[in-house]
Amino acid sequence: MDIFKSFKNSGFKKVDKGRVLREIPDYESMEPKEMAQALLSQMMHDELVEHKEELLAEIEGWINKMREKSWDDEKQREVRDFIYEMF
Amino acid sequence: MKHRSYRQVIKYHSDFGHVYVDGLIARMKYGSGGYTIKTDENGFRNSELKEGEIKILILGDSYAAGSGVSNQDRFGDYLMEKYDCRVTNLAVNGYGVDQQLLVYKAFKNVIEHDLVIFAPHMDDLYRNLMPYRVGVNREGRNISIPKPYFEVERGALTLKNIPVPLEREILNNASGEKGAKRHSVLNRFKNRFKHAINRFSGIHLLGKLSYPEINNEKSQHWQLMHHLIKDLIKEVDDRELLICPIPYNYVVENNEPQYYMPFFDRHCSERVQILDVNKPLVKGLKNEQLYLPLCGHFTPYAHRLVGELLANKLSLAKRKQAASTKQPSSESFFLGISCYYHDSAAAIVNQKGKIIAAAQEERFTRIKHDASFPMHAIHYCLEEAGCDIDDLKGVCYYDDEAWTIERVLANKSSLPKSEGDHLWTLAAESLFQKTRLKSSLVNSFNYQGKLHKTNHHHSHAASAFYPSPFQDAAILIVDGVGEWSCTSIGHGKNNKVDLLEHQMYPHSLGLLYSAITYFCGFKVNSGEYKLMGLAPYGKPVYKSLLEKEAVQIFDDGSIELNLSLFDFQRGGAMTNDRFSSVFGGPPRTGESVISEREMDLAASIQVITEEVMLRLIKRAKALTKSDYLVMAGGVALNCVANGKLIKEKIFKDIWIQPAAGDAGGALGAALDMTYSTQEDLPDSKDDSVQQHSYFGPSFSDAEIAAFLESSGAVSHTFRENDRAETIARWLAEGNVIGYFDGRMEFGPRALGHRSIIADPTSPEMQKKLNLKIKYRESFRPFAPICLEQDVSDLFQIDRPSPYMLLVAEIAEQLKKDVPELDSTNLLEIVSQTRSELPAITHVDFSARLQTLGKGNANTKLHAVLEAFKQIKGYGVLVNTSFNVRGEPIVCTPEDAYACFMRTEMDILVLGDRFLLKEEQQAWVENKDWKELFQLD
Repeated sequence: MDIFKSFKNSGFKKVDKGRVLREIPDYESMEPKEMAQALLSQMMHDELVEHKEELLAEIEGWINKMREKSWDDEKQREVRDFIYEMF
Repeated sequence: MKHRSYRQVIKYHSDFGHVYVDGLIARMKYGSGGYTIKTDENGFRNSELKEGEIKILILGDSYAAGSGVSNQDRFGDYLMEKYDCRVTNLAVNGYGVDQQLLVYKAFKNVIEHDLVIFAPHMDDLYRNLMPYRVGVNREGRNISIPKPYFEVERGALTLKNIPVPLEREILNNASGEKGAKRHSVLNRFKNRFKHAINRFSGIHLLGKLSYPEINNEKSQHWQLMHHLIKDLIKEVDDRELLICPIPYNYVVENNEPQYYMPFFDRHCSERVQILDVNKPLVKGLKNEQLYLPLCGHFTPYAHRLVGELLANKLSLAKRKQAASTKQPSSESFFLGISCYYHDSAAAIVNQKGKIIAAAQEERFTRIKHDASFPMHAIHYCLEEAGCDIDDLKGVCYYDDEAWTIERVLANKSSLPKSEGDHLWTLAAESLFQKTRLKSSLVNSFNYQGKLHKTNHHHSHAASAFYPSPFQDAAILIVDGVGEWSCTSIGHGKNNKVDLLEHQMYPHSLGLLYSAITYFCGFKVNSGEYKLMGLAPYGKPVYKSLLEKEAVQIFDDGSIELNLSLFDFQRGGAMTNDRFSSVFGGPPRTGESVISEREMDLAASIQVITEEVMLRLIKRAKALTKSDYLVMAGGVALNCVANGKLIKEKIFKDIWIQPAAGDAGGALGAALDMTYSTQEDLPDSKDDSVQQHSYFGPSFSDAEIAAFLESSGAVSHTFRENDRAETIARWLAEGNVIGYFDGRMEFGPRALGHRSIIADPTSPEMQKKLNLKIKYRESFRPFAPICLEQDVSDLFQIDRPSPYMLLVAEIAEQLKKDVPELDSTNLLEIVSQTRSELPAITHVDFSARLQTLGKGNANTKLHAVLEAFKQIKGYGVLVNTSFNVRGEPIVCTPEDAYACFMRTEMDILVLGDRFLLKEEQQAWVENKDWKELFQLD
């Protein structure tokens, strides 16, 4: 897969003004395929369309792999301390 | 950070053992959320007292005090909210009945009340016998916390352990048994109370012990508890006393018999009533959770249930609706978040765009450039705004995860398969984290609202334009990369920011600067300002070679990198072997000698940066026709370039966001959402102009005093009206002072609230500061902080520089002749005296300047500068960040004290207190503190 054959300099480009504040999709509630589609649908380059299926498979594989990991948001949870806030 | 708050919540008390720190507002992180503790001037959790017909006083421990819930969610506050009564809560975490009795004796004639609600707990049977409680210190280690206690002697209570000893011992095992053995006072109790120690350490939460002593009149537990309650009844005098025993969670959840009620029933009399809450709680258990899962204390629901039971028992009249209806808050808030790249942060602004609070996560976690989810910074922002996560009107992330993933995928696809796969492996986790932001908010805050995002450069643009003093301004954003953008030009007008043009990855001035930073042996995303500091030592002899081989610069300020020389697209080193072969060999390795090549490369990339920036602002002017310019993005921190841009006078004035890096993206995200969603924003910028950058936490005198007392530090209070003069005199005598006062700075620079200050006239000061205090490279200059009114007398500049974002040359009349030195030894070069202010004069006579105006938020340091001027003739001081190399700037009094003790600083100023190094006890740490901080 070679979507971007080079990173040729194109100087300044106009900014797409339509892409400002927007809601982040609830990725966690999505199946991997659905999440991959949600991500892909937000991407900006037209070249992606030609490689849509390859990219979807790639992103879905990545999501599956990442979801196997345990994500430790909960380091702050401790259970020992009924007087923990003391000092 | 293991503790629930960066603030110290409890302090020593000589009569009661401990109370809460007085006048405190502290948000406590707790499981999936948090709660807020507010305390009164006496150190008890009271806030917003309402008047009422009946005046109630509450005695108790953590259940009545409300551990795990905010003040307003406790049964006492529920009573006050719903019923016609005023409730003063004197309960404190960890108290036994003995401490509750002592508190009551102390306050019964101070606080007017008609009745007392006394909420004992079965653990009191054991607590009462103990001379200490087992607590947990801020490192998470078990400690003994001495307390007063009573003994029954000849049928009467005798008070012991008064005044309560201050010393706390670290207990070497979970039960505290070993610690007790070593403690002379505790040793006497070790065998008698082994069982109790085990209970206090938490084992009781796991087992089903049922406190058999409560029904054994012969036990010392029973005897002591009985006498304490008898004494309390006597003290309550002719008022009413309502005893409300608090059942443990396992008693309620297992519907165990209320075996303890007979004990309390026998104390019942005409004016002493007993309320059994056990049965109603068991019933309530069917509806909702009663006990908090982590600690077993009451949930807000259980507090409400108990509140209703108390109201019924006391036959309290309901408040009239009008009196109990909460006034809707006139202020609403937007939270901005930046994270998962570097320098994560949170910021909160109100509906008018006024910045309420902002802080980098690194200050709380003590991990430099911490990129993780900014949980602590968010808690702080909520604490400062006085709101909960559910009260927010919006939450906004500073970056678009889909575009960033797209860029990395594009990068991957441009590489040979093995290299592409390697890049993807490196990036996979941090990219996925960006998609999990909502989960982090749910897991850490139980946030159920919507989450928005804006674009990386749009965040920077918002952070630069909205807080600026301009109604109309060109916007220039230059950094390494954000999503696809490396450089953006935009236009801000009234309440709108538009980005017009951008140059896309990988042709990035920021990445080029970082590549040279890497090649010269400094850390990327951290050492760029070191490269800037190195530049004056060199000559820009590599400029033409860089332009020929590495970067092409176009008239409009866009650039094209020769990608064959760089490796950042592969996720590895910034430069590759080809770059090395063009620029004289391999990159310098960290900590090795800095050679002429590095100095000349630094000088060359500095000149290129200035040239590109100049072209970019010309482009911005042409596109917007605006009179003013605002800037942000990491490259906007290049104060040498900024100073030169101002001199060009292309714009009437320039304003740079002091938190120009990614941390400032959090502020921009919050502002972007505010201005994008609020329809009735005023055109006037009266409320939203950024007047300072002190948006971090401050610490009250009471908090500082509480820390100093518990740390055992020897401290003094400044004599009235003598603070500034005393500090100035110390500085003039050559002392180096750690200066901690007011709210912490937001952004990378210490601006006089978390600073190390010193005498700039001393020729030895630069060396001393570098080698004995900062433990860093000797070549780096120190920045001056000077009186704003004197700036043009001391430096060649005609404007204030409140955020240390401009460089100016020292005034001609202060310069000294410098003899020629044929050396590349940076230590020798830097040791030459170049001006009357040698400690802040760089080798090219420049200084990275901060000015302090009289109306500035930092009036106390202003007074110090004035006093120093009286002694030395110059209203200027050395100002360097309060930290050592690799350490985030200090946040709390505790951080400041540790940094003070680890270095050769002479004096520490904490608000209106000061500490002299010679008076402190030797600093002992379990391991080498230098291992805590990774060198940057």
